[in-house]
Amino acid sequence: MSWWFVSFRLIKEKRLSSFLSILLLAFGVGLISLMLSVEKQIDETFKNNLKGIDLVVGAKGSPLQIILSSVYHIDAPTGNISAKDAKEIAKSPFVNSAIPLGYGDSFKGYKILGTITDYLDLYNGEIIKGTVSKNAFDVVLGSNVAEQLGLKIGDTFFGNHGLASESIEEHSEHGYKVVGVLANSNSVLDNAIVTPLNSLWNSHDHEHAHSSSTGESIVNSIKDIDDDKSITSLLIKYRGKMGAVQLPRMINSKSNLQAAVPAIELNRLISHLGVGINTLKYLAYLVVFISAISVFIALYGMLKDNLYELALIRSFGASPLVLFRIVLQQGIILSIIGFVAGMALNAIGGTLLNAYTESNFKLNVIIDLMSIETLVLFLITLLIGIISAFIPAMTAFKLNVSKVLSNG
Amino acid sequence: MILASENLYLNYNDKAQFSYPDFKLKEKETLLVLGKSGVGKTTLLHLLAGFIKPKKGCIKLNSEPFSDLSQRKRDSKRGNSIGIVFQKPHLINALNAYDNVVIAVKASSSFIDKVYIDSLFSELNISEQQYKYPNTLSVGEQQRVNIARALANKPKLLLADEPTSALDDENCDAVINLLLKAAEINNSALVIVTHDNRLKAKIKNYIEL
Repeated sequence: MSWWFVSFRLIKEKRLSSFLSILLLAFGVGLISLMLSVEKQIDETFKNNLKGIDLVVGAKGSPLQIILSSVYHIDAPTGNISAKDAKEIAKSPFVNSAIPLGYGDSFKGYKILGTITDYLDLYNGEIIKGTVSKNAFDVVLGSNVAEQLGLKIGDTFFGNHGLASESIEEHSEHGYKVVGVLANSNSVLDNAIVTPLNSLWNSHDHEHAHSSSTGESIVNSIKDIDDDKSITSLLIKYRGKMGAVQLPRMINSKSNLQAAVPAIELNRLISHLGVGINTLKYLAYLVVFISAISVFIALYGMLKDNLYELALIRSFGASPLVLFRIVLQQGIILSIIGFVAGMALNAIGGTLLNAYTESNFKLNVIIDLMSIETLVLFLITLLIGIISAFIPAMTAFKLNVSKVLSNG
Repeated sequence: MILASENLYLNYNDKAQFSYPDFKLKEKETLLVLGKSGVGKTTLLHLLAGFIKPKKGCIKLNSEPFSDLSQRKRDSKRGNSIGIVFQKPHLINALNAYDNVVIAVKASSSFIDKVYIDSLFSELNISEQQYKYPNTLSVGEQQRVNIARALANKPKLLLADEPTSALDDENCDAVINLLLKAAEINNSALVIVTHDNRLKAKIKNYIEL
């Protein structure tokens, strides 16, 4: 039998107050750690998807909307731009690379993205099954899409016009054919259905609908796009530092185009989201503070109930330090159980949050139990247990054995 | 000599002043300390147990100074040499009967002799109750666990505080016999502090406060 066992049994004896302390601690810890994961994940997901995109050009509208639609595929696009204008921008000496994007169809809530193969390279997308698209209406699936929709190589499906999953108009004349599946890249690519731009043009130019043939070579560079086509947006990477200064101004001066800098829009968005996250964080701190008080009250109550027993332990020859230990250890045990329960809540909360955001924002909150933040949170929780237990422990330390035993 | 007291005196304030007669106790000897309430019986017991220090005089334990030692040293000496049977059992509800006894040994940082503790339980006829929790035990069984706990460290001196005051004649006899038997197990000296005059018939060696 160890003093840890004695502390543990004393906690178990007072089930109700111990349970309350643990519950409060768990909620505080769970809430804080969930907030930390969400914050970190939002930051990472957003930044991860920005690699190699310095500027996004789209139709006039909200710059944030352009970023959200073209980079994260969350919002609806602002409209289309003409290929002629886009090619002009791509030719600019400030542009290193320009990737055209075209939206139009969707399938079961996933957007079908018309683009060129450079887009896959942007996110280091690797084909694990099949090949890249070689013809119009060939599609390559992101890893999540393939998993969620259960589509395999060779499967065909019909896209819906527009982006809603319940969209009525179906392009029954053009079936998309799955030719490849991508490896997980922890980017927006995982949730994308990628097809050559030709697929979109062919299905939407209704007068040419029946002239599309499998023999037609697909567009794989912005230069090859016909001037009379239209695209939705252009992802641009600068050549040299001057691009950042010159290019946005140059594009915005054109009446029908809008350039949006992802880094700027993103910081704005995160600062807006941050208000909500911070409010929740303060709430979590409050819960942790209350749980600290509850641990204090629980241990103090336990102390008052066990005064005679503690005095007895002294009477058997234990030093005051042993009583101090017994009480302090109770605080430590409560905080450890509270922390573990909090982590469990965090995992459950994270899973629920993922189930919600996966379908709405395609965000994936990774519950990382082995991070530095978790360790820091654990140490803080431990400290809370120790601090709340300190006064009761000191009271036990200073116990007047003779007085307590006389009054018993 | 197990226990010797000389000129013991203690005062809490001007009104509560206690001075005690000298007494000596050898191995296996039993002493009954009788006195009405308010004459300082419990105070004497706490002095003998080393919970408090006398203002004047001294107590020797095993012929060595005891009452003059520091709190810490008295604690550890008590743990090793003195067993106390408290008036009410006061077992720790969170621990089973066996652990209630073991904790006394652990508190004195001595070796936990499981065979000896098992033998205590069987000597006191509570073997079957060994792993039960205090709230499932009868008062009599709790009292026996209380005695087993006092004996856990093979004490040279056994102190009993009002062990019989709340009991009828029959149970009074049983408890006294139990205490005498308990003292016998380790050849301990036994001091019973009580206001119960019935015990005079059982124990010849007594002082009155």
